[in-house]
This record gives sequence, C-alpha cells and structure tokens, in this order.
Amino acid sequence: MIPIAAVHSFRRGTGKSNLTAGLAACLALSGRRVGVVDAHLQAPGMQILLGLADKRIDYSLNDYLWGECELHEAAYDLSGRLGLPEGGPRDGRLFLIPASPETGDIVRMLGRPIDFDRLNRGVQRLPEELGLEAVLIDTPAGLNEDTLSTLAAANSLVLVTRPEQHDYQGTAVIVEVARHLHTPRLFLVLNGAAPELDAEYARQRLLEAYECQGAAVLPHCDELAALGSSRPFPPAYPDHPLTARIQGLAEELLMINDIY
Amino acid sequence: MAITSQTPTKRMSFSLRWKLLIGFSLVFTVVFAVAYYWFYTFSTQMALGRIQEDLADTLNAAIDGIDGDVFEALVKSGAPEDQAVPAGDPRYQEHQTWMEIVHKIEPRAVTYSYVKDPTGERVLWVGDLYRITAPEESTAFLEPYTPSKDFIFQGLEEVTVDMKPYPDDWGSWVSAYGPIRNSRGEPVGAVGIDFQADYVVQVQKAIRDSMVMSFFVTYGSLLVLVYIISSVLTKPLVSLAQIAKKIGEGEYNQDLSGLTRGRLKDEISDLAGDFAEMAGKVYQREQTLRRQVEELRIEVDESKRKHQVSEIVDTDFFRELQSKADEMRIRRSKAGTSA
Repeated sequence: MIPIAAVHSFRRGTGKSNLTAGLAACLALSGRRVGVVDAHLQAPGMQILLGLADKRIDYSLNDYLWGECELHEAAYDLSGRLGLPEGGPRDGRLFLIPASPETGDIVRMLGRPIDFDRLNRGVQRLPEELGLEAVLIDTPAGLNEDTLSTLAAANSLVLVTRPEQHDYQGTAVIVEVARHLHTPRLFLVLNGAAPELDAEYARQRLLEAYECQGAAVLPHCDELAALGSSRPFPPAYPDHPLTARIQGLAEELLMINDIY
Repeated sequence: MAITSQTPTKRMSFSLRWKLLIGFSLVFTVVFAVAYYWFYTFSTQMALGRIQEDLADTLNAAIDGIDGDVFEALVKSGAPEDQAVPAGDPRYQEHQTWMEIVHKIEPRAVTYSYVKDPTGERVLWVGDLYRITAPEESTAFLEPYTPSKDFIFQGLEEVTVDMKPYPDDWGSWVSAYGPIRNSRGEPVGAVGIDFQADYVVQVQKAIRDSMVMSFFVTYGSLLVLVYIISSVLTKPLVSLAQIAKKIGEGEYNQDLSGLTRGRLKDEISDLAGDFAEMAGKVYQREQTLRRQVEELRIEVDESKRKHQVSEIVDTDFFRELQSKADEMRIRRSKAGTSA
C-alpha cells in the first residue's frame, strides 16, 4: 500500500505547507518518487514553495475536479529544482499537482464542494499513473466538507499543531473525527517547539495524549523563519537537526503495511 | 534582595573556627615550649660559664697563696688531742687566715682544704673557712669525711670542677678542687672552693617568671588575632552557605555583591562569582523545565470535544462520506488480494 498522507491542522499558520514541502523534498532526495497534491484550493501556495512558475501551469487540480483532465496530466516534475538528476529509475522524483492560482478558477471553486468520489479516485490512481511511492496532500486548516473529503481520501493523517492549549483541544477533535473515518494511521507533529525542549519527553506526551502511531517534535528555528516559505528547508540545510527530524517522519510515513 | 550578615552562630562556622583556634593553640604551645626550653638551657649555660670562670680564678689564686711545704708539715704534725684545731700553731693560723682572705676578696667563695685519708676512701679536713665565719657548721682539724662524689678525690691530683649546682639550706653551690703541691711538685693535699651559684638559680627563675608572663601575653594576643581572622574568613563562607540554602529553596534572586565587590580578588570572591553564575544557570534550567512542562500540558476538555465531534460526525454529509470511504477501502483491499 502506498502512503497517501493528508497534511492537516486545526489552525492556520502551523507550518503545514512548509512541512509538506520538507517531507516531499526528503523523500525525493532519498531516492523516492513522491507526488504532492495542493488541496488548498482557496489559497494555493505549494507551487511557490516547490518552485513552479504560475505561467507554466496548464492543468491543475481544479481542472481535474471539473472533469477536464486526468489527475496525472496536472502533475509537474519539479525534481530539477531540488538538484535531482534527470532520468534513471532509481532516482528520486518530486511531482506537484497544483491548485490553480488563477483568481477566476478560485472563484469558480467557491461555494462548490469537492466531489469526493472524483478526488478519491484520482488520488488512489495517482501512484500507479506516476509510479509514486508516496503521495502528500497539503490540506487547508480546519474541518469543513472539503477538508473532510480530503481526509477521507487519505490512508494517513499528519496533524500539525503548535504548542498551545487551544491547538491541543482542536487537534483532539480532528483525531476523533479521523477515527470515525477509519483513517488507518495518524501522526502528530508538534511544530515550533522551544529549541531546548526535551524532544523525547514531548514525543511521549503526544503519543499518550492522542494515541497516535507516530509523533515528531519540530523545534522552532530561525533559519526556517528566514527562508520565508520560498523553498523547502531540507535541501537548504541538509545537516540541520530539524532536517533530521523531518527525515525521520518521512521514513515513518513510508513504513505502511497492508493492514486490511 | 541582599543578605544581611548575621553573627555566625552556624554549626559550620563554629567547627571551622574551633579547629583554627585549637590548631593554633597546639602549634603555638609546642613552639613556645621549645623556644623556652632552649632559651632556659642556653641562659643557664651562659650563667654557669661565667661562674666557672670566676670559680677557676678563685681556686688558682687560693692555691697559689698556699705554701705546699708548710701545708705538708702542718698536716704531718697531726691533730691536737685537747682541742678541735691546733689554734696555737702559727702555720695553722696563717692557713686559716688565708682561707678568710680568699673569702673576703671573693665573698661567693667558701674555702677549705683537705688531704686524703691514707686508711680509706675518705678525706681529712685541714683548713675550713666556717671555723671563722660559721663555727656551728665547721669541722675539726683532720676530721674525716666520706664524699659521695668523686670530684673531691680527683681534686687531689688535678684541678677538678663540679659545675652541677647543688642546693642546700644556704643556697645553690658549685665546687672546684685543685691540688696543693710542695716544693718537689708532689701533691700534698687539695684546696676546695664551694662557690655560690645562686646567680644561676636567679637567672633561671627570672627566665621562668618572664616566660610565663610573656607566654600568656603572646598567646592571648595571638589567640584574639586568630579569632578575628577566622571570623573574617568564615563569615563569607557562612553567607554563601545561607545563600545556597535559599537557592535550594527556589529563591534565585540572591545578591552576592557583598562578597564579590569591595573585596580584593581572592578565592572567596571567585567562589562567590561562580556561585552567582551557578545560581543563574540553575534558575534558567528550572525556568526552561517549567516552560516545557507547561507547553506540553495537553489538557483536552472531553465533553467539549465530544460535542464538537458529534457536530461533525452526526451529519448526513459525514455519514455518507464515511460509508463511501469504507466502501472504497474494502474495494481496494479486495483488488489488492485478487491482484
């Protein structure tokens, strides 16, 4: 089973998109073929992070949802931006299925819920079509019909939270909802933790509190803030401890067994 | 928040101070005793030395003034039967007079003369100053005497000196003996001088008295000094101990400036500086830990959660989504097993 992970959070500004980009970069740089789906239809951002110029975008996720193309046709190979060599079946690859940054397309999506069946089918077929070993879906924050549909299409949920009480409460709600959806795997990510925090202690606390399959603690770091969501963190700082943590989470994501 | 310095009544300061005081007392006493002993011995030797010189001079003078041949003849004529001394014999009178003259010139000297008793280990008194100056103590002419020490016998052959002070009711004495020789150079008797050595005793007593006085004065003042110094040294230690206790109880905001500033840079000020640094670091660590525990206090309001979850899952939309998702998974797993 190929991991299809929805990267989600209760609140906005938890560093979700940066994490998605970071996970994708780690997987690609370690020789895996990974696809990223930007489900942020209202405010697309992955194309900026992963380096896809607006004018290059022909087909997008929007077009697929409207039935105007196949999902893989809206995929763009952005491996070159990570410095990955072309060709070679053993080489890592990074594909992005962007959400359309066109204002007109965004407006067209407003008020119309995502067709779950269509989304689901597309996402499930994507690994086959592109030979992917993992799919990451950058999901907008908060629970609504669209994000619920996205979560339902995934077999893994990566929930990102800040170290704040309000976040913890909201995250607990999403965890419970995901259980109702029978999402097989749940990962908790504590983002923006104090650097001197005892990571192991924090991990244990998260595992206990949310009863999830895995947890990661990502410390706040100035370098990440300085990057300003212009590109993924790991390739820029390959030896940074934060990169190691993201790498660890990426590896955990891959370890999915057929559990049915 | 400054620490007011308290009188060090703490156990720690006491035992350290007591150690200092006792140690000092022991060392001082030993050193002083050694010095005193040395000084006492040295002074005694010096005093005796002076006396010995005078004694030797007196003895030599006394011997020179005696005609050996006359002495020999006097002794040979023997003791009179009817009186203690041969008072009428001019040779005897002259001899006695000479005894007295020596004494008059040197009042510290008690002069006498004697010969060896041919029959045994005794001497026979010949001349004796006491017959003139202290008749009740005096001896008879040729009265025998058995000496306890050998010096008297030695004196019959060569000049001998016994410088070990011998105390009796009349004082402390040292003695010297020397042979009287006749014109042929043969020893025919000896002169003995008992010399007053009270001077020695006086010197010794003077030293003893002043020693006692100076011991207590020196000891007393040094003791006070040690007490003050130990107080000065242990006060900062007591302060630090109190500060350490306060820090242990969580009061990190301690003012150590009293120990670091206004003090020449020494080990104590270094220690205080290190202490302040340590307190700061402990405080930081505690703050960090507090923050951590606080940040990870994941308290979920269960009833609130239940409510919010049911708002979502108890909807037609969700139930439909749920069944579609389940269906999809079942289909996929079937497809997976059959593939």
